[in-house]
Amino acid sequence: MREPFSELRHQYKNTTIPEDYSSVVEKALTKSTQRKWYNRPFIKIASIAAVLFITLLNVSPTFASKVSSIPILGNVADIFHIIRIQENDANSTTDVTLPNVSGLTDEAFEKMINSIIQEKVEQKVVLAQKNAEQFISGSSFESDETNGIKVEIFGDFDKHFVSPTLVSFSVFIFESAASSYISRDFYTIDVQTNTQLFLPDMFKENENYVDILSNEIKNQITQRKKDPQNMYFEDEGFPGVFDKIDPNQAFYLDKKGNIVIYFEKYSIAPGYMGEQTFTIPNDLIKAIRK
Amino acid sequence: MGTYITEEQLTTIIRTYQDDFYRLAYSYVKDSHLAMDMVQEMIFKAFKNRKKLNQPHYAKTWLYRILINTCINQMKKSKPTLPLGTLLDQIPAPSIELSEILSLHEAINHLDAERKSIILLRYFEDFKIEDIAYILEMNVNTVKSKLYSALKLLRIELEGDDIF
Repeated sequence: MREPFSELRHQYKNTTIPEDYSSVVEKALTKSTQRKWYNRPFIKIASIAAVLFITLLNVSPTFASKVSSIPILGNVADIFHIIRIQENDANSTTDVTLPNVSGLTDEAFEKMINSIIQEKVEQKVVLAQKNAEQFISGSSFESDETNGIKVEIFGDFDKHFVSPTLVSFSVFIFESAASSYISRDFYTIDVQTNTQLFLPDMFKENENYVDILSNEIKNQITQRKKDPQNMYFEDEGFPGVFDKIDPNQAFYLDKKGNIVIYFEKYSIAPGYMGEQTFTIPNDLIKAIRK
Repeated sequence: MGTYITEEQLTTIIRTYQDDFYRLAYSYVKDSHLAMDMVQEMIFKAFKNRKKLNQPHYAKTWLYRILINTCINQMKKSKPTLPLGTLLDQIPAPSIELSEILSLHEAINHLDAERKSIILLRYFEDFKIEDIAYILEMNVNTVKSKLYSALKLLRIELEGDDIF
């Protein structure tokens, strides 16, 4: 009975696809993901990661054996070594480089900070791999059509500020499934006191840095919105309107030592805007900064 | 692990099968602009109702379901004539089977929406009966009997044209 359909089926499969069709699809996708920006699947995923990681460390010697340490020669202050994780499975390829802090005067602190960095990265990698597996098997309705599709998991770190006293860097994991997702952790380390600094540590006690920084960010958002390409949830009645930073908001120091406040993708702006950073000029906060 | 399909997953599935969606939509609405509108509407609906999809591995069939419903609603709205010409334009050169193809094509277009959908999904899109049942929200036996009756109807029409 299939025979009579074969020629017609051939015609059907050769239906001409209009040239502007894929841009129509992309537009619809962009609109859809913007509108539903507040569904942030990766946030939920992150909370489950800890359990998986602990299992991984204790149970899987193979994971550990794939980890190798290579020193970076000639680095400023010789504070970073790198660790590289490379894996390849049916659903994903993983290539992650993470920093390993060395040369601190407090070895116990150094060990702790390195294990925090590794732990967070490995959590994310394991989750990204699980996610990739679910994703690929979810889309392989006809397996040969998904052949060749692999999720890429890529990770590296950025050194934002390195001085003899302070070091500021971030470690990121980047997942390219469909639309990309980047997840970042920030570290600012006081090399002299062997402590990790968080945002409140950057200011004198009892200073209202939250309001001062928040106002500055609002001003910068207003400036950026003058370009019609830029959109924040302030517009169009989105519920994610930026109001105040979290007292522990993620931040790093730029090359000049200015504090840069960081917001992850989707948090205060639609996905297409990506990660958002706001540099707080040192002059503005001179009086309250430590 | 969330039970919902993520936006990223949904986006990739839509990108992967976007041409299939277009072809299917076109076979219903017979107009390229309208077909693109149908796919767009499918995308909007899919993201809006993402959390109603409780089995992420059904995403592809679920999208077909949305698309077919959208197309059928559109057809109800506009009651289009189903021109033969669109297919005729695409046939490069006349062959011996041409009349057969056109007659069958015409016959399929004259089936009711449900039977036409079953024929398209089964023979052009290669879906399994169980998947067709899911897409069209029917039980498997209903799909089977409708497919059988559709084939019978087609054969009757074809017989009428002295094709067999």
